[in-house]
Amino acid sequence: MTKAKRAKNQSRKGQMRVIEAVMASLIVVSALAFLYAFAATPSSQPQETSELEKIGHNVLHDMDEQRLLTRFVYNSEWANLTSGLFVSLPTNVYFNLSIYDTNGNSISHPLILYGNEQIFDSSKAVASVTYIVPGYQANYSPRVLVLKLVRG
Amino acid sequence: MTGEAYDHLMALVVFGVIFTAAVFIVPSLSYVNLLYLQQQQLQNVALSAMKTILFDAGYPSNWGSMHGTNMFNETDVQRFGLAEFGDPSLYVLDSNKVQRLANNPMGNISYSKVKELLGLSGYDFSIILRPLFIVDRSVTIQKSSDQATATITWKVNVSRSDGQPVPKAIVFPTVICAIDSNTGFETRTETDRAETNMLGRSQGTIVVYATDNGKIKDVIVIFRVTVADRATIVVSSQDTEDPGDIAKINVVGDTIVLTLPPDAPGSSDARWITNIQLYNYETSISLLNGSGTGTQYKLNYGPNLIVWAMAFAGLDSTEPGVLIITFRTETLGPGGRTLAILIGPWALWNQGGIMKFNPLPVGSGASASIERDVIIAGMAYVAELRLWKA
Repeated sequence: MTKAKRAKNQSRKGQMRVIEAVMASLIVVSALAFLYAFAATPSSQPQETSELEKIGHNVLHDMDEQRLLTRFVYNSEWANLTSGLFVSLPTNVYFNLSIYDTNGNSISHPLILYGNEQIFDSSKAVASVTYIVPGYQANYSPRVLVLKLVRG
Repeated sequence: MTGEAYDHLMALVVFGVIFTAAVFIVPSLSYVNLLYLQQQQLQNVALSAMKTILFDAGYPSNWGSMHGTNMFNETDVQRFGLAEFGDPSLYVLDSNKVQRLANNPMGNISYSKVKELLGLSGYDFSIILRPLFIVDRSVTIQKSSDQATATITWKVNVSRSDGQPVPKAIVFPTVICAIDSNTGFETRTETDRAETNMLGRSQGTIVVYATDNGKIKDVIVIFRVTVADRATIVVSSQDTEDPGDIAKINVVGDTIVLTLPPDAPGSSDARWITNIQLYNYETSISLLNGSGTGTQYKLNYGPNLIVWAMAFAGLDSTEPGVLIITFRTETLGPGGRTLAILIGPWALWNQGGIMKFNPLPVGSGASASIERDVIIAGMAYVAELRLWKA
């Protein structure tokens, strides 16, 4: 074997070492990435939704406590109901309120909404709070309030 | 041979670089998760602490008023909580307990004590109480030269905390005047009603006339603003400079307690209570009419007169919105003794409607914030707890 041929052989071996090193590194990285993909990553959505539900229930409860909620619902004071929610909920929270009777039939009312309606369809973390008011004054006529909340 | 060694060296370097990159980049991705976990942990601790603060009455259950008219002693509090004892409703706070969080002349509970009782060692926190919406106001008071007439021009701007205007808010400005007339000392109230426009603004003018050769000595304006009947109250500036130098108003149960501030400059003279009114947002009830002389209704820096206390049956259950107390006193203004109005007892009055307990800045690391609507003395407020690692 000539000297030149031997040098060429050694050079090829060296290049193979580089390729081996790169491949070894790729195996290490891909193994780590594989593990990372299977690692339990915490998701913010359940916690976020839970917090929004608590906020929503808190606001409806407080308005009920001040005897405002039933008045607004049974006297059809929809503008007041919207304003009450608007000032009571945190500033970055959008809401959409629907009202039903106990059979699940929707009670006709104008849109009680703050924010874009589409955000409730597109957002992944929409909280829904169900709150029941039994009636107003002496009349028993339960209404089911469904308040949807989403962070803006 | 040199070429082969060089290639091996290169291979080692390439492997080293890629391995080091992997070692640093992958854990940093996990670090984001660790931060998030820390944030969630803080949120859980904050939720738990908030639950105790808002739903627990503490022990003794009347710890806010257990010392009556004596100085409050925080060592007697064994468990912390602000809830109204015996009230079946959630989120209803006891105003006697809330007052102990403020800088209270009758004594207050310290931050370190609350921290210890809540078991929050390793954390720092602050509690903030504020109205549901912000009321910015400006008031101009112009009195005629004979002090028989006062023209009060007011402007109000109602907005949410993010600056969004609140239209159709109902504004009830109430002007309270202290009048010195031939027939004695008198407190007169005049009320107006207006609605905010689309920009959340409203304005008006109220004129008050004194009769019986009376002179209007002091004027104060209280704004009650309601949105969908959820109310907040703010107080304008008044004629008298530094009214807090006259006395501090406190209510413990059914008892009104007045204390003198320590060494208030220029006002270390005696002062007499001439009138106490309870303003309940819609009506005002006169609780006391004093003569402005004698020792019965006197406060002074001498012994036995530095604290004045009187019980009014049923005061606690009426949830007084505002106590309006008129004094005959010296003020920082020119002239001798005059009439000055003081309002209380609510600590929120003195602090622009916002009360902060341990208002330290949040640390640079992760922090959690929880807000809840609460009811104090029949009024809706937002209670916020901010918590961060110590």
